[in-house]
Amino acid sequence: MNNLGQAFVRNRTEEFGLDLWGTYVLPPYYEALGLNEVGKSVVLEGGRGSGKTALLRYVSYNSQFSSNRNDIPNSAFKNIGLYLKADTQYFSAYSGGDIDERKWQDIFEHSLCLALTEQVVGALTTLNCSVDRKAKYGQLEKLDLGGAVGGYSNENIPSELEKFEKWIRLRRQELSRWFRNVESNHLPELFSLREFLGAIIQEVRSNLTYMKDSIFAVYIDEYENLLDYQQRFLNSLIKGGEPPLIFHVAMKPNGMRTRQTIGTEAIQEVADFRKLSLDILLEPEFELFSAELFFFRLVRAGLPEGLVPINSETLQDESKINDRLTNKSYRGRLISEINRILPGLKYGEIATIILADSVLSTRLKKLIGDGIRQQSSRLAADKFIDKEYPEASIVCAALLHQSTKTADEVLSQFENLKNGRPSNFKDGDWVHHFLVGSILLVYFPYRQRACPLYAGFSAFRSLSKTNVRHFVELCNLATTGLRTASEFADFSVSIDTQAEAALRVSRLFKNEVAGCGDFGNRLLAIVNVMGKLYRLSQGKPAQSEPERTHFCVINAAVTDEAERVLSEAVKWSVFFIQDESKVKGVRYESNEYVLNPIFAPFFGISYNKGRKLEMPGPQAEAMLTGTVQDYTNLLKTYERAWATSEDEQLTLGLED
Amino acid sequence: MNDKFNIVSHEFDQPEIPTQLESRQWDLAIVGNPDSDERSVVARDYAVAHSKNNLLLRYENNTIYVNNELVTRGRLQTLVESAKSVLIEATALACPELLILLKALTTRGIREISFLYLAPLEYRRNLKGNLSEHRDFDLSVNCRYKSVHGFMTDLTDTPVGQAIFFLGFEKSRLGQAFEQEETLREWQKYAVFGVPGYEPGWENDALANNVHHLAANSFEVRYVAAASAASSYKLLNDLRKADKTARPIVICPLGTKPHTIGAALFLIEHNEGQEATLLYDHPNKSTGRSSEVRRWHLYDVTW
Repeated sequence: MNNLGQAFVRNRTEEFGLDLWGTYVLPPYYEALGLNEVGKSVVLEGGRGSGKTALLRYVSYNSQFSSNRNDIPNSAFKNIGLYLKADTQYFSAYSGGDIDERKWQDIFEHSLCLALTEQVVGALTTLNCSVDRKAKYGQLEKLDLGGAVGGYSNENIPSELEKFEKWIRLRRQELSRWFRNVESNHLPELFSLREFLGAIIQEVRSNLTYMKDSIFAVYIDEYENLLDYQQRFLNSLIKGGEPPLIFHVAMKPNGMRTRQTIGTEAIQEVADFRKLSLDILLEPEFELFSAELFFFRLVRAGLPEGLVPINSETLQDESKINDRLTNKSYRGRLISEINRILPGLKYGEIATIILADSVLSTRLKKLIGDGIRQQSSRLAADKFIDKEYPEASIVCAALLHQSTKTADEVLSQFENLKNGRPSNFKDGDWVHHFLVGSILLVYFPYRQRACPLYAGFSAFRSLSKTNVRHFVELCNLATTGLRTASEFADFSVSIDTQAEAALRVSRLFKNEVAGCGDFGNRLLAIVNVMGKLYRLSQGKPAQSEPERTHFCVINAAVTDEAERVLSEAVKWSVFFIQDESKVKGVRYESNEYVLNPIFAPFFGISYNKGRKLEMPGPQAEAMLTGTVQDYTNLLKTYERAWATSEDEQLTLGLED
Repeated sequence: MNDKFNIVSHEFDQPEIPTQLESRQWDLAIVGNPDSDERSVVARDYAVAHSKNNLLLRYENNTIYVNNELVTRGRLQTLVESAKSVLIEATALACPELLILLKALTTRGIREISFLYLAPLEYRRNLKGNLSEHRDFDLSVNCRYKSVHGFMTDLTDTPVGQAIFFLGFEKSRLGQAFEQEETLREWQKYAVFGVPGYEPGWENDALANNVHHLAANSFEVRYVAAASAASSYKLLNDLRKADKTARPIVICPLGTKPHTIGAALFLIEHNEGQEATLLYDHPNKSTGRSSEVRRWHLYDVTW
């Protein structure tokens, strides 16, 4: 029996292996990448979980020539993708000992050359993986690989593909053996990548008619992990790349530490490469894509396709991408069906729940009462609560704490609303501005009760931004109750289950930050301090700066060290950069940095981009590079600055 | 088949030099840089005083230095080959240094190898307030996992096997391993904790700080006494023997020094043909160091 609850267990491409044929949903931007057309290098930039690795594995031969693919179209031969992942721990060993960097570069080049030659051979053997395929393509006996590269080695290189493959493997083992006793005086024979690989490719193109016009596209994943000299070497390959051998790289934001090549020139965007940001490309259609992925995963887990609004083959068909994007009725069915399974509540519905719940309504009444008392008004709290007007009632909790409004004024506007007259609640946008903040304010002290704002497909989408991994994990924890296809027609995840899933996923990914790169511990501390700051801000009853989730640095720029930490925070998607830095009049204002919304449920804060926190340079410096004591001081400073005149103490209460 | 190394452990529950160790002598002592750590100064002084010769070893950026001079592995072998018995001062030496030394000693057929380790009175933990605050505000720089020449493998190109993690109380190290080496998520994983710990209760920090990874990544948990090099060595050999399919093994020694000694011996025994390789993050020595001596451990290894 299929267990549909397992549909979302795997949330990393690594867990699917190299061959993604039949498991990859083409992202809406796929055609815009133009990977099949380009004769120029592409630098793919994307945050964690944006789909870089999956994309590269999909365009590589392991998927394109997959044994699971029934018919390989001619277009698949246009570009033959060779995939390599740069493993930090492995490639960092290409340094040190009694060997200088110049020599290490040769050794790195040799290693890359062997790995890529193995990939070319892999492409040939994967394509010819069956009797039928051999009959259709084959001709491998025509290859004289040893003859093609014989001049680069003192050894006798076998010509026949299988033997050549073994010979290459032996060369890799020889290099591994040398690494057991790294010494400059008994290095193995080293090959020049461009010459050696170029000759192999030439041999293949000249003898195999089905590959005579093929371009070999190398995709280096996790380029940011390479040492500086290794990046410079790859930059040279990018600069010198031309058909039939082109080099592409994928990396996290800010992953290219140097644009230098091993020569005197640097690589230039546009002239030498096109840079594409997967996050930016995905954002406008993330709603469609995430909903498609949701149903696709369920189908893969065994749900009959007739029960869902997608067709798996369509999602994997390059020629159908435009249909998916433009067919309004398809989109409508898709979104309405996912909303059925992951229903959310309208803000007004949440307001109604608050009024009906004894604990929450008591809390609301207290907030309203405190506001009235502060104004020394004698009005009764009940006057501001009306079950017929739940949204306005909730918003009163904030309005009554705002010094610009008197209780009488608020009441009179409330009366206007109830009597159908023009009212600031509607016309003055009070509900619009303050409702989300006020709902969170009511839930503020009850961390064990996840707020329904975090439930629903729309909320999951916002929490994930463009992170597919985050979205899949939210679905994973939310849909654990789904078992069999027969339950599916009536299956819908409760609001509470979804909100609790959001809270758990939020905590999970917050904890993961500690492992993010050289500054992982620091980045986790920054998430904590900023999350707490925003919680303090959003916990102010007046909601004077509603839904604060982003900051900029004002007046003074931060030091280089702090810039480095900021750059790492962006690299690991702790912050997203939005507006660029600017000078307003004579005042400096940095980029805007938005906290990743996935952390919002943990801190009980909004996932919308509301008002901005302007941090003076020295405070930002402390947040980015300070000590534990600096962090405590920073939080205390804001606590004092934002202190309310009432007795209620802001309690962070954020222990795990 | 029997395991290659025979380990005899001696434990002395006192901060002063134990009388039983006063008469011991070795041909060669190999020591690390004791920095400002009182414990490793005491250990270094003992090692130097109880051997005819001594060498100061350091491993930095994939490079070996003896007495502050760059040496190749071949040169290191030459430097140690005349000794019949060697004392390795393991308090100040880290895992890569132990491995490099063991490789040189075993290659040259040196069959009497002792490890000295002084256990700390108490680790310096930056504890302020409660534990969860500490865990949220650890500001130490993370350390990347980087291969050590001779014990390396490209995990992206290695078949799925067994990964064995010896764990200590630092929270981020295990998380970093999985962030950096995503492919390990698919491996069969073991988490080894030092239980019983050096002191009652210390193991709780290790468990608490790693528990969410254990749950998220389906680990099998094993317990080995924190001070037992022999048990960690035996555990690894048992796990290896239990795997009839002889899959590759990755050892990630982030736990106690005695566990690391056991792991290093296992790696030396099974590294030929790259059956077992190392995953290590080279932490800064200053983190989690302690000063005073609590207990002396000597491990005599023969083969």
